[in-house]
Formats: sequence, structure tokens, C-alpha cells
Amino acid sequence: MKNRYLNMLVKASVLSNKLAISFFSCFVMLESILVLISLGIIIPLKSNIENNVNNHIVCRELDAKFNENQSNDEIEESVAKIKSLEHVVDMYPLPEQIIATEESGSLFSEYKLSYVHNGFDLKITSGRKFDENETGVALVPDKISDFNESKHIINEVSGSDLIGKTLEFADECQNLHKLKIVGAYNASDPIFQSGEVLIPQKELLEFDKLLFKTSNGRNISSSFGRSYKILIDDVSNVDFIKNEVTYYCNAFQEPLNFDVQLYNIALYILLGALLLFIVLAIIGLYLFVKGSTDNKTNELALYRSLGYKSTHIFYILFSEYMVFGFISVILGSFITVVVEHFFVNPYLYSLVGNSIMEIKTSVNIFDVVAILLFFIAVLFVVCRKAVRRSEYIDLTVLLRER
Amino acid sequence: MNTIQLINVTKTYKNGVTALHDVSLTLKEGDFISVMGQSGSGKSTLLQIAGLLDICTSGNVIINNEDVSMVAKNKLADIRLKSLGFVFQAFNLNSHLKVYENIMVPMLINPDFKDKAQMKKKAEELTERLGLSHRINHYPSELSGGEQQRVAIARAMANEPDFILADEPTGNLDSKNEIMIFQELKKLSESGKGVLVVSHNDAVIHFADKIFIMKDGVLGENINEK
Repeated sequence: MKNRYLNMLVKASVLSNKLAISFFSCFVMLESILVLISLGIIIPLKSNIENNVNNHIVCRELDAKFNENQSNDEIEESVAKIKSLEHVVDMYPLPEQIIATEESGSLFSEYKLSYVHNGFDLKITSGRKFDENETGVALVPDKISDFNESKHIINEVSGSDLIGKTLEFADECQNLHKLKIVGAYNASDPIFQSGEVLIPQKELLEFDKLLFKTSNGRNISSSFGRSYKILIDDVSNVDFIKNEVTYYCNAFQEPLNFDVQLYNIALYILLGALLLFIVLAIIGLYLFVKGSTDNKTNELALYRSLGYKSTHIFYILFSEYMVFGFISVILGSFITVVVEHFFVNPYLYSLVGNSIMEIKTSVNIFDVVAILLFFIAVLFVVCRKAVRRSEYIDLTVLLRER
Repeated sequence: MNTIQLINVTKTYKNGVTALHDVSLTLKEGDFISVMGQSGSGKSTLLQIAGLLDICTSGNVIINNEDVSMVAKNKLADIRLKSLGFVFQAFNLNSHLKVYENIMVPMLINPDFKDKAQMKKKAEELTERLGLSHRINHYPSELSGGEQQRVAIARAMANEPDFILADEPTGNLDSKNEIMIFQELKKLSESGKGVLVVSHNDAVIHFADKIFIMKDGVLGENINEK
């Protein structure tokens, strides 16, 4: 006998239970929204912590310094050997940052002439990025707080306003460097300290040599020309490479200037909330179905007295909640899309927007499917328990009261 | 011949009350048996046990030569489906199903019916037999008490069971409808069904072939020697 013939009884059961079904649907919808939003934040947050923080390029770099008594040929040979190691992505001369002041009157604070780390994904907000073979070009931060000491004011300068201008930077030995600003970059990444003007590495190395020469080595580090940057493929291989290169040079890691603790705490709180929502969903489903079967004692007793078996009773109960639960999860997903677009994402942007922890939530079809499967599984178990309980219903309730 | 046999059945509840003392009764196809007695005499308990709504503390219940105490749960359900039809005092109709749908409820799980059209046709035949054709698309709330009970009888007959068990079928009806219901039950027994009615309504005496008086859980002799 096909169970679909029992759909008539499912419909009658729903009609007799309209209020409870409405509450049930609202409950499932609300639970879906809460779980989807939680997942929508947890997954990208976890990904950000793992990829953008724990696996940040700074965490995958080693600064390597060769000894003074090593010749250039020896250094070259060592560099070649280190580059050939497994897990080493790149090794390149480490330019020194140069502190400079802008002489054309466009900017007043001190700035650092710096470089773009190899393998770093620099985000350009306006203009263009330079090619490493170019000369006389630079990138500025998209937002600059320029302190004018003589007037004691801070000017908030937009980097895009400087695009196309040629700025003149003078180092500590007054070596003047004219740099045309070709673009502005997002300086929110912790790899940047404030006020860095980025120029091609080769050009910065040339500026370093000039400063070294004009200062007789005073205004530049003693390891200039002997420092390299090693880029490793994954943070888990850093210690291995550190051990491998000790034969050739001294290698150490710069710490990442970023406090990830707060985000880890937020992640754990969100995971706790998600777990709570899941537990509430299970308890809620159980209570709804139990309450429903308790209210249907006469109905279920009648079915049993007519010869209905547990499989039939299960079909009626399960179908009733399955249909409405399914619709509620789908509706909840649509509502989540709206809530995320208008409330959650704007709020998250106000918290962590434009930083390496920037999060944008979105409803993922796999999350919706996972929630549906979870709902079906829990409903299945809960209905089975309810049907088992119904096997012990006192069928004499159908008879007149004694 | 199909029979329901209660052999030395005793029922004692958890609170120590013994509702049935060593009761023996046989219901055969074509019989119309009425068990009468005052409230608390145990007559409903007898019906419950005969109809597999409850289990006895001791004794045997044999339906169509099968001792139900030895039968698995699913097989018991099959016996209820194919062999027994119930008529309750409170009708127990589904208020959200139309008359023909209420009659179809036992048919929905009967594999003898191939499709819903066949079930509906059977429901229509039963409503015609019981004079309810004009009410077939109505809901129970739109019917009188007598009409509702006739729907319940039609439902009980849906799977052409061997036996009809009725518990105070006229308890909620007026005297005119009482007679009508007993007449319908009589027709069923004359058509070959075994009918067991529990009632304290004296009107049943004019219809039943055998009348037993129940007192304090003990079944008396048949007082209706025809």
C-alpha cells in the first residue's frame, strides 16, 4: 500500500493543528536564520584567521643575514642552494627602508620609502600598481594623516588626490628622489606601518646604496647588502626551513604586528552560539513533535484500532512536520539573505571593514542543504521516538469514559 | 467459520481492580450478541479485550483460530484491519475529513484496494447502503448524531471485516436514531457479520440474538432463548 494515500490524513492533521504548525514553522525559520547567520560569520572569520593572519606572508618569511666574512660569491652560492630547497618559494635581497621628507610641499610628515614584499597581494584602491622594473614611480597609502608641524595640524590627505603628481623625497643625507605617484594602495594590512611610500625593490636598493655611500655607512644598517628575505610556501614549513638554512646564514622571523586574540575569542563565542542554536533546534523539534503526539492521543488510538501500523503513523507525523519544516528552512534562507545584506554586512563592515579581517557573509547553498539534512535527520529520530511512544497508547481512550 | 473466542479471560488492572473474572464468550459470524449491565460491570472491558484494544491478564483470546497472545504486533494490526470493525459511542470521526473520506480511512492502508478511485467507489456504496448518499461530501459537524454514527458504521464496514464491535453505539443518540442504529447492526449480522454490542440500552433486546448480563466482572447466561 502506497503511503501517499495517507496524505489525506496528513492534510487533516495539519488543519486540526494549525496554531501549533504555525509556531513550529516560525521556530524552524528562526533557527535557520540564526544558524545561517552564525555559519556565515564563522566560516569567513575562521578562514581569515587561518589564511590572512596565521598564514600571513609575514608569518611565512624569514629574514636571512649572511656573515661579514662571507664573500659575495659565497653568498650567491648559498642563496642558490637555499632557493633550491623544497618549500622555499623565493629569496631576494632585502631592501632597507629609508626615512625621507617630502620637499615639494605636498606632504609635511616624515615617510618611509619601502617596498612590496614578493608574493604579497597588494590591494590598489586607485590608479595602478608599478612594475618592479620601473623607476621613478611610487604608490602612496589611500588615506594619509599628514602632520604639519609648523601649523600643528593634521591634514587628512586622500592618496588618490596625489596620483599624477611628482613628489620629491629627501633622505637623511639630503639625497633627493623624484617619484611620480601612479597609484594609491590599501594600507590596512598589518605588514604596513603607517606612512609607507612604496617604490620598486630594485630602485629602493639603489637608493640604499646611494645612502650608504653618502653617509659612509652611518645611516644604514651594518648588514646592508648581506640581508635577504626568504619566502616559504606555508607557515607550517617555516621552522623546517629555519633549521635548514642555519648552515648558511642567520635566519629569524619578524613578528606580525596584529593581535589575533580578540578574533579568536569572537570565533569561540560564535561557535558556542552556533552549538547552542543547534541544541535548541533539537530540543525544540523534540518538544513540538512530542506535544503534537500527546495532543493526538485519540487520533492515533483510532488509527491503531483500525489496524494502522507504526510505519503508517510515522509517515503521517513525519510528513506533517517535514513539509512545513522544509518550507520554513527555505523561507528562512531568503530572509537571511535580506538580513545579511541590510544589517549584518553593514555592521561587520563598520567593525572590520577594509582590513585583513574584513568579512562579508552570504548564504551558501551548501549551508542550506546541510541545515535541511540536519533538520530531516533530527525530525526522523524525533518522530521515530514519538511513534514508539504511541505504540503504548491506551486504546481504550476511544471508548466512553468509565 | 470465523469466530472470536474469549476463553477464561480475566482482566485485573494495576490498581488491583478485577474487571473481568474468568469470562468465556464465543462470537460467530452471523451472531448478534449484546452484553448488558450497569456501569462498572466490566462489559466495556470485555469489548476492549475482544477487539484487541487491551490485553487480558490471563486466559486466551482466539480470533479466527489464532491465539492473539502469540501474535506479533504487526499481525495484530492486520487482524484489526481485516477482521474487526469498531463503532464507538463518541463516533470518533475526523472533523477535517468529509463523510466519504472518513469512511475511506481504514481502506487507505488496505492493500486490497488498488487506488483511491476504488476506495471512493466503495465509500459511495456504503453511504448508499446506509442512506447517506446525500451527505457524502459533508463534514461531520454538518451531520446529525444519527448520521454521524451511521458514517462510523460505514467506516467500520469499509474493509468488510468478519466482526463488528460496538461500544454503546446509541449512547449519544435520541430514541429514533437508537432504533435506526440497531436496525443497521442487525442488517449486518443478517448479512453474515458477527456483531457484538455493549449497551445498557434496553432497546437492543429486540434486535440481539443472544443477550448476556454482566455483573461485577462475571458474565451471566444467555437470557434470550429464542
